[in-house]
Amino acid sequence: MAKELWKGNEAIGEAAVRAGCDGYFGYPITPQSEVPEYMSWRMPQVGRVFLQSESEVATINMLYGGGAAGKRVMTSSSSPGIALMQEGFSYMAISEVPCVVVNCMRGGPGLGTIQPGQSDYMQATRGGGNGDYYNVVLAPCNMQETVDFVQEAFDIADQYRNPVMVVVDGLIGQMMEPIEWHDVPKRDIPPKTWATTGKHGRDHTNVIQSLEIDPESCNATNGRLHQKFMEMKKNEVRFDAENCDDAEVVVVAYGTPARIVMSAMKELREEGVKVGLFRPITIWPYPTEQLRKLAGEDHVKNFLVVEMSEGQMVEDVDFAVQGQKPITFYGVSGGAIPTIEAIKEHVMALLKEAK
Amino acid sequence: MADQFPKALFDRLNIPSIKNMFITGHFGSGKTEIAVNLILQAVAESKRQIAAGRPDLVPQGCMPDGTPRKFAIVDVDIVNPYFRSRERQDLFEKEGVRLITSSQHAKNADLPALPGDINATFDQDDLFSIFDVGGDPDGARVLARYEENISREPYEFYVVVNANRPMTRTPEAAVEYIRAIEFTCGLKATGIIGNTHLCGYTTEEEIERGFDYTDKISSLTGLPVVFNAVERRFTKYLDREDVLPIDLYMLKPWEVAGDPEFSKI
Repeated sequence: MAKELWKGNEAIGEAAVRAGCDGYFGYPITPQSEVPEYMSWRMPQVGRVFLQSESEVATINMLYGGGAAGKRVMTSSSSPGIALMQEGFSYMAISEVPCVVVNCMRGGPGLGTIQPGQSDYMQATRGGGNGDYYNVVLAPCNMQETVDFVQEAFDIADQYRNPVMVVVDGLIGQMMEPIEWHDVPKRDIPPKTWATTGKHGRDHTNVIQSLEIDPESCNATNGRLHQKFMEMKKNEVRFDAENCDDAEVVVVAYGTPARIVMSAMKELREEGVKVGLFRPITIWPYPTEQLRKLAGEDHVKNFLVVEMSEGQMVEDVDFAVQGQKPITFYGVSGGAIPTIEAIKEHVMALLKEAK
Repeated sequence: MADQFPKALFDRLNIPSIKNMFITGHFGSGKTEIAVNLILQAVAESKRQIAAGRPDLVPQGCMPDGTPRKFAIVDVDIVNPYFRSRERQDLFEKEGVRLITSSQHAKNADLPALPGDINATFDQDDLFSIFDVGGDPDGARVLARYEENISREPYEFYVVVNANRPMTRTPEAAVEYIRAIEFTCGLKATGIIGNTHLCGYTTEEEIERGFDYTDKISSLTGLPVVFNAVERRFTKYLDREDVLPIDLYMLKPWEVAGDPEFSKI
């Protein structure tokens, strides 16, 4: 397939259409409003549902209903909008209703700024709503990964009957980049016999709800779900390690900052500096074991964590590294973006320190 | 030749009364990059001609009485929250280009508000302005507000086209966009700017395909090709009289000016 130049948010919409999304529900918020705009045009073309809801709270409950009916459903929003949806995530997790949610993150807290951010890391990776649950969270760093992961996310959601989130920052949503539409890995999805679509010759209809009033029963449900989350943790970890085989400084970053690190790394490697990038691609489940193993390598002297936040993922890095090597944090937030130069300066300072 | 305006553009602008140029096009066609390049090159062109003692030859270089023109870039993009020309304010200040934009005191806001000083572009005779208009008919709607002011004087209204954007892949689809933009703002396009590229992945084949594409749009619409924008690294095409060599000013944070390898990272 030839490369085409797409705007991130439009491509996210098109990826969902190609993955067989039956219903898109959404509410505008910068910097992701082009997703609902694109879907309002595209979904009727393919005979599917687009609905602009009255709020993000309504949106997530529309996903709950559509997903419960066995349909592939999706929404997208940006940080404050995603915050409003958290109750629905929690309900869908216990009810085991799949959905795909894209968070095109902006700087916060509160209304914050419309410029890009990564300060929703904790919210995304710790469930976000009430109760014991997790969502698989994919964190692409470029447009090609974004369209591939949005497509795969529908299969992952259906396989585990759980919400799946794709987190990008506003920059990925807003930028133009060439992509190729190619086949993404498909999973074997069992028929949705649990969906609320009528009796179909059975003696009962399916009921989907989140109320577990009896503690023993709720405990049993949580235990069963926990087993499922542990399966997700075992099967779904993704990461990328570049130049880590001999790196003295390993930079840990995801999304847009990872890409800026790649540019810094390209320049530093040309100068003979031994720097590597460890990039979590799923931020839940986190590649803890892989990072821990890397921390144990003799050649690794320091870790540098780069985020567009005041330091959220750094806690997962800290947990993975377990004190084996020192960790330094470089973060900017509120819509600011790390620079190639600043990353290079941090790496060089760490190297100097190690010698 | 490489550092001069392409012939068609030079000829079209060589009418002293033209003082406003509008750059429109499909979402993501590259309007902002073109507008930024054009205003900076217009300033350079003006300085060159004045230095050569022939300001009368300058498109928009001098007023008929010999007073040098002033230049402005007018960012009326109210549909995009990122990658707007106002982000290069530093560059404009350095080159003496006046930046007219909504929310100058909150340049990161996405307010659908238009600044009062846009009126300067209609009222101030010595000001040559390039309008960076938001994408699609939605973005061009802004111009409808000023349709009366704009159409009172001669103007240039260009539509940027890129064959690699999915909605304008064919010349026919691009023509539909041109017509929709014209319909929305009530103004007629006066020329086409070709900008077929694939960021760091652009090849000579892409560029040549772009030349054919703009020619076809031109024959379908009767509108002239004012130029094809070509990144300066493709030296092979820079001497063509229908090419405007461009530099990339609207870089992504991991990109490095002049090295396309960083765009592919």
